Amino acid sequence: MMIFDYETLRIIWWGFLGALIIGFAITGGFDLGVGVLLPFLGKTDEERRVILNSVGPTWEGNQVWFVMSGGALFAAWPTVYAVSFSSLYFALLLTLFAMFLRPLGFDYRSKLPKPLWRENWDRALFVGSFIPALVFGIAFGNLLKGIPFHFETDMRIVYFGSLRELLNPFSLLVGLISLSMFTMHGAVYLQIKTIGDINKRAARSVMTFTILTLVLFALAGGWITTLDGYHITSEIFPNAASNPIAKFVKKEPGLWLDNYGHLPGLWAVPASAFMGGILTIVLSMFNRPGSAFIFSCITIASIILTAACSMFPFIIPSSISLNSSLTVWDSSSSLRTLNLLFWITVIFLPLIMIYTSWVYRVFRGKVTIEHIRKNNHTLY
Amino acid sequence: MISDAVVELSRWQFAVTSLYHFLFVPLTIGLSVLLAIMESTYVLTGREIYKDMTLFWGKLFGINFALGVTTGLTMEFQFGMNWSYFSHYVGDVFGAPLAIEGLMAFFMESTFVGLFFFGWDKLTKGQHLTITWLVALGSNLSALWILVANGWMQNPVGAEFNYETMRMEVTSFGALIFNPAAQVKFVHTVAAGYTTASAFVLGISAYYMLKGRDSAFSQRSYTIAAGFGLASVLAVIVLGDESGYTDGEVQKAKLAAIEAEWHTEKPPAAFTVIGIPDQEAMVTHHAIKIPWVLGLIGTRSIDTPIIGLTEILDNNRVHIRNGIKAYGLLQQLREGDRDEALIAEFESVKKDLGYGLLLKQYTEKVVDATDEQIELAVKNSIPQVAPLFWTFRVMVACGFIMLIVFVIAVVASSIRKCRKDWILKLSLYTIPLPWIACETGWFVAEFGRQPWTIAEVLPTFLSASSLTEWDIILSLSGYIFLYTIFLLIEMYLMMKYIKQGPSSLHRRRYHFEIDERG
Amino acid sequence: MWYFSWILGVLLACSLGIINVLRLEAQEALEKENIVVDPLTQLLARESVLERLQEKVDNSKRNEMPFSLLYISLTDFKNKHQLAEYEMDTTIFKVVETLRLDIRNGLDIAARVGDDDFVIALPGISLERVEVIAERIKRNIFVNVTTPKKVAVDIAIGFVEYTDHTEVIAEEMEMGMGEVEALLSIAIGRCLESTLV
Repeated sequence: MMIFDYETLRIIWWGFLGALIIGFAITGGFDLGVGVLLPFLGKTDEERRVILNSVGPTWEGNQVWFVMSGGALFAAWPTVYAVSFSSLYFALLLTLFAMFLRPLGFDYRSKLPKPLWRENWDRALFVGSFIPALVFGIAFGNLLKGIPFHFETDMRIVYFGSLRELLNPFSLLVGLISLSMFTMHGAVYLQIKTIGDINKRAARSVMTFTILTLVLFALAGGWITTLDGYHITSEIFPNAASNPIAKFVKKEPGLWLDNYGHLPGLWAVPASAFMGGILTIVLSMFNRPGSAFIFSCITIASIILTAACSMFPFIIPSSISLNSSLTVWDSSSSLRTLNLLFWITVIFLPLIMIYTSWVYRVFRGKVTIEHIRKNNHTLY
Repeated sequence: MISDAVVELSRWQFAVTSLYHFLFVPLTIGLSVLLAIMESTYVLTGREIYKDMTLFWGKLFGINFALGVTTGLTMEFQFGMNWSYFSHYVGDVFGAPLAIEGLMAFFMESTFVGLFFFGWDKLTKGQHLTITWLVALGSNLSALWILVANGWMQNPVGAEFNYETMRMEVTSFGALIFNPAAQVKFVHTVAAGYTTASAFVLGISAYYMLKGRDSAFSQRSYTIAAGFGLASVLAVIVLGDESGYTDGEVQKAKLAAIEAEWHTEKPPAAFTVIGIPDQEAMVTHHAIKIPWVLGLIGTRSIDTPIIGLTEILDNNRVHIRNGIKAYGLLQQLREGDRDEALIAEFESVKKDLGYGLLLKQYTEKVVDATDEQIELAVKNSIPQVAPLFWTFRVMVACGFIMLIVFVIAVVASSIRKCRKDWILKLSLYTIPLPWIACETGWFVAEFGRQPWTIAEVLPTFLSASSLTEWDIILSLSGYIFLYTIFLLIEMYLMMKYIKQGPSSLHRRRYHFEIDERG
Repeated sequence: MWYFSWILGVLLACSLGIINVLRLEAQEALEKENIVVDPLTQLLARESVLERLQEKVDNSKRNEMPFSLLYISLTDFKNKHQLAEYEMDTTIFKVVETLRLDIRNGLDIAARVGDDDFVIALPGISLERVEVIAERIKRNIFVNVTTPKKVAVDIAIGFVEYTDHTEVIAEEMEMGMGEVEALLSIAIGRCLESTLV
């Protein structure tokens, strides 16, 4: 059943992709944050088990948002999937290797009582959370700068960059933003789920990392004004078949703020990032971490949306072969595929959100050291 | 043009990572169902021992599941990372089932698995049982969608080439989902998973019974595994047969290669049990054949012939010449020519475009390919026969041995006195067989499709990403290094828990806890 | 179509698994009913216990675990104290109640092998613990069973640790029931000698 035209479906799928990425950031994000905080907020073995079990029952479901983002990218934006994953090869490889450590870390860590075993898995969990959180931002930063790739005539993708180039200063800044915002988010979640010393340490971390996030975000915002942005100069055919090499693109400093110039209402997005951050701190200080969590979600979503709105309609600009850049109008799947995927998503995504929130409800409540002691052999 | 080394290394990496992944997947698929059966029995009878069984085998399930997830992450991203041309060329079709796999199966499986492990005290018996069934359903559904995707690689129905976007695009999702190759693959693969899990539980329970430990626990586990396993292995074999029949219809080159059917024999063709296939000479040395069997199984008739490799090669020569024409027309279209007659002519030959692409391995200028190059392309348009011939027979042998073992197991578990040591030892030693069968089976499926990634549409050598050799050497080494360490850790933990048995549940009623009272 | 056949097939296979195990349950329940049990105490009777003992002994041998028999006797209690039939029954009943406190379900075997004689098999427990258990049983019976008369029982402990010299003991176990007493004296003798760890 086809009720949207190609242009609308493309915008919808740009939105869905963003929703999935934001979905990962606000669910898997706090799991990563908790992993980063693990060695610092948990000083004893039992405290660390408390921290691990606060996310234990739900973290695997959250990770699926990450896998899903990859799957949706493949299905709805196959050229984007192909270009980004083969160009960012080593960044992704590093992230994958780090993420390998998480399922094993969670499940195997407490299965043996040996302290050396457990300490090593704690280190592994830290690394497995730290690196993906950082690389998430580094990848985004590089998208904003543009990736040096181009298409040959048969659409073969050739990448001319290197890992060192990916670690440029701007992208590292964005990487620090994502690391910091996930850690903030993890700290708020821990403040919800724990009591006593861990809870106090978590509250302090909320303050630290929220402020850090907002400061770095403002810095990046300032930097963007001087960064090269991209703009399509030829006529756009939003309903045409996906052919990325049929357009003309120009690159100039400051162009990333173009969209904000055309639609001043968009300034609400970065503004809500700052608002959200401030409210997160305030609510956390007043010991209302549940509400603080909602606002830290808003902060994260706003930060990601700010970047996305700056870049629209670009998804992956090419810094060396400008016309090869991938935009919303020329890198999507066919109309039929987008349509089918749309209906399937519309049915399953709400279903997923319903049963996921039910699972969180089942596991509501604090995780305490007594609980760990009572269920020594069954908990993580 | 991409270097051969890069393509070879990419293929090795994909093979290694997917074979590794498939060490853990069948056990997840099957054991999740076995757990659901055990818990159902618990809820039906109310006897605690079945809950203990669910908990203990569930612990082993968890150890295995972790590595299934870990190795699965690699697979989701490897298409983009190492096979970017493939991802662009067929993503419109191939990506959809992967996305649906995520939405329908992964979310359900991963969200509820946490509840399965940690929700016993928070849910009613009925609620928790439903969760266990949903976890099993999730893992089975994910097999469905990934096999719809792989089935499309083997038999690319419901899609057509679009010259404007230079890729395959979907024309009918119905055809994609109901692709006969996908259907039979799916049921065959999940049945293989059920068999694997049954052999696993059967063998380990036999180990406990050999040691005379926890007999009530192990007898019940053995019995459930025997019943479920017999049904599964029968299904696997029947569906294997069905796969062969489907191949005879849609993947003739693969079937001919597996059976080393060099020439089209007079129907019904004989089945070569064993022999030494010789691809240069196109003959099998020292062949032991059973008359009529291949024809009957492969075509289910006595007068439909099985097309031999020589004839297939002749057909491919014609396809390749058509493909050259299609490629030439495509080039003109890409240069901007939109003449109606040109488009119509292209549409009429475009189904052989893939064959034209085969020539790109030997020359950039496909339209000017020499006769020598064409002959080379023809020769390499079928897979290598010998590896397929042997791996297929290993898989089938394992299948039939397992059938015998499960029949014996069911009989043994029915007649109480018949629980002899030799039966238990046989059950124990059967454990590796399903794994061997699964891995050889996947080898047959994927190697048998060469030289194509998408049969008759996209050759393998074109599908790889334009990376350097060192890129892949580094990533491949990383994968092998990490995966080996993980596997060692996983096996260590698994063996530890198996040796402990249900005493690891600390419920105070099993073997190693005997001395705790008194 | 194969998708539908999958659904049917899974249901069928699961049912097969469940039916198979339920059949096992039924079989075991039936066997339990056919075991000869002492009507008064519900312990195993003399006829049923030897086979069970053989299983437990085989087990201990396979796992190289210790194996103990406690032979509990109210020798001649009835005659000594001139008790009536029903009084004797009450005494026996109370004694068995006390014994049950130390019997582990599913692991130990308890049987009434004579009017006044009981056997408890305790697989897998070390000698020190067995001696402690025996003492405790003696004490408990003395304390709990006070009507119509205080009861003092004799407990003989037979202990075997399976190492290399076990074959002889296993063979002896295959002799008739009456030889249990003989076995016990041998075992007691042995445990005072050398077969301990």
